[in-house]
Amino acid sequence: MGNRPVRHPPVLIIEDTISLRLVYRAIAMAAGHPVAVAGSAAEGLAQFHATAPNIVLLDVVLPDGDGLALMRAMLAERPETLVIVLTAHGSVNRAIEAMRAGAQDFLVKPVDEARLTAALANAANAPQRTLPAPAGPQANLFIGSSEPMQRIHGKIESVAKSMATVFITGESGTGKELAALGIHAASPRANGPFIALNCGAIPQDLLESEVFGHMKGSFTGALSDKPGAAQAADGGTLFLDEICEMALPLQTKLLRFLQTSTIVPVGATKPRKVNVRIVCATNRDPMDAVRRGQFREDLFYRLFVVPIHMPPLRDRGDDVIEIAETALARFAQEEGRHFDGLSPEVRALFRRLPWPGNVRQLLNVIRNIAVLHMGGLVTPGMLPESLFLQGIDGPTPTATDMPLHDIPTGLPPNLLARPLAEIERLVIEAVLTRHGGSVPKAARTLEVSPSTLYRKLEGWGVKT
Amino acid sequence: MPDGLTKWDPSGLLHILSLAGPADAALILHHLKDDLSAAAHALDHALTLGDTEAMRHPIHALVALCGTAGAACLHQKACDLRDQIGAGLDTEARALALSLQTGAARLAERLATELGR
Repeated sequence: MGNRPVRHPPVLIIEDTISLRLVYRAIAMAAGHPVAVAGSAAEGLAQFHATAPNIVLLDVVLPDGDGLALMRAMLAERPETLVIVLTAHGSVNRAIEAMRAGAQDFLVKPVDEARLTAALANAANAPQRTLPAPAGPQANLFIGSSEPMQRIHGKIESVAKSMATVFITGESGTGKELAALGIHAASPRANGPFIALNCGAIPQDLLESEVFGHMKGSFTGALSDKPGAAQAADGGTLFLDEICEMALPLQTKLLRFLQTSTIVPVGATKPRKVNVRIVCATNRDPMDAVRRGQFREDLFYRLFVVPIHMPPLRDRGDDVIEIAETALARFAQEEGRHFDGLSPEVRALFRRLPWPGNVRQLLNVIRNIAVLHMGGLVTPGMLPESLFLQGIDGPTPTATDMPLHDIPTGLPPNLLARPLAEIERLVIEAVLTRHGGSVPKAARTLEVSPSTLYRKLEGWGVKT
Repeated sequence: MPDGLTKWDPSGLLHILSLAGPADAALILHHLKDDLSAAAHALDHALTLGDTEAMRHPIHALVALCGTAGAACLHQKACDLRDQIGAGLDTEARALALSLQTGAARLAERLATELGR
């Protein structure tokens, strides 16, 4: 055994079944950890604030809210918290959902002493996350202290307390979902579920079922009753991303839902009342979608109650540097490397780039640097070539704004001399770059399904 | 009627009770009995109404409680019932729910009589 000191950081256990709560407490205390306990989501959040635990043992099913939504709220406040999720359901999907939401580990009940002790030990010895300490719950959602973002923080703080529908606009990669999460976390519904649905990523013929649920047998493949996102968000917040991609017939049903607060699952005859706060988002111009007849005007005015526009990264001043350096430190630690920051040339370049893919694109660039280089000062030579396909010194309009023949493609001049497979890859990558890395948007331009593009990208070893 | 407790192995629970110490061990046993009884009662009530939504929470609790108590058969019944009620409450699911409810109530009694000394 090595000489590394054994760590026993404080643990918070959030479990509504009393006997199980006492069992987990006994195991954690026997392993040497100071322990606080809570029996509900509300009590859990209060104890989280009061005791600031390093590790949270969290039951997914709580009497007053969804455990994963509580986890997101806790991680939004203190991202360095290590959450071990407990569930009685051993499905792989649930595990994936928990891990994607930020869980450190995932345990299936009943949890035996050995498994829980091992999970606590792994969490206690996990590498420290070095994100900057939050100044407040909202500040921790977004990195960057520019004036446009201060205004966004203020707006999120004001709208969170009400039930009004929020309509978030902004280019791809500007943090619309993060803003929606911030609204939820600061609202009286923070202990309720936060359900996000991307209306652009789901095939339209399945979207109604995804939103409103379906009854067993209502269509081919409906093997059992399935609650939809609206029901899953009952008592919490439903975030509808890319709302302008929703087909017109479903928009009609959405409008009825907004007017009556009732849902009718596909194949059902009885409506069901739900209590949901709606936040929606689009990176299109919603009024333009209305003018083109692609979005119902009455639905638009029903949704466009409190608009929030997320500023593009190029309009956020030095936030690009702050975000880049924070991400570089984080990714470097994950890769076991050390960088000395960004050189003055890279800083100057970053400030001038238009960043059509915004923060998401910036994070991809920083990840690329951390993976492909061993450390030191980040110089222009370390930057990925694709970064230089976009214009400098001015915003790059999106493909929907310009005639096709005016758009720089970044494609090599000898395209016709290359093998077909290479031509396909170059074109797909160029279209993706034009759309800021958005696969659904690139798929629409190329008139193929998003799943086709995901398959090709996976085959080329490109992470999405 | 078989109570599903032929494969009851309380050794894991006894080990946890030894970790907890005498005072907390008594508390754990007391609440384990109560939680099992409450879940069995809630399952019985929901079953009477034929309400599969109301059955979910007690089933979720029984998966964990029966497993923690070392009742492998009951734990498996709870898992099977959780998977089956998604498709509705047919005759087989009803029989399973009734067997689970009865078994959980029996387990609570045996915890009190055999471990609560």
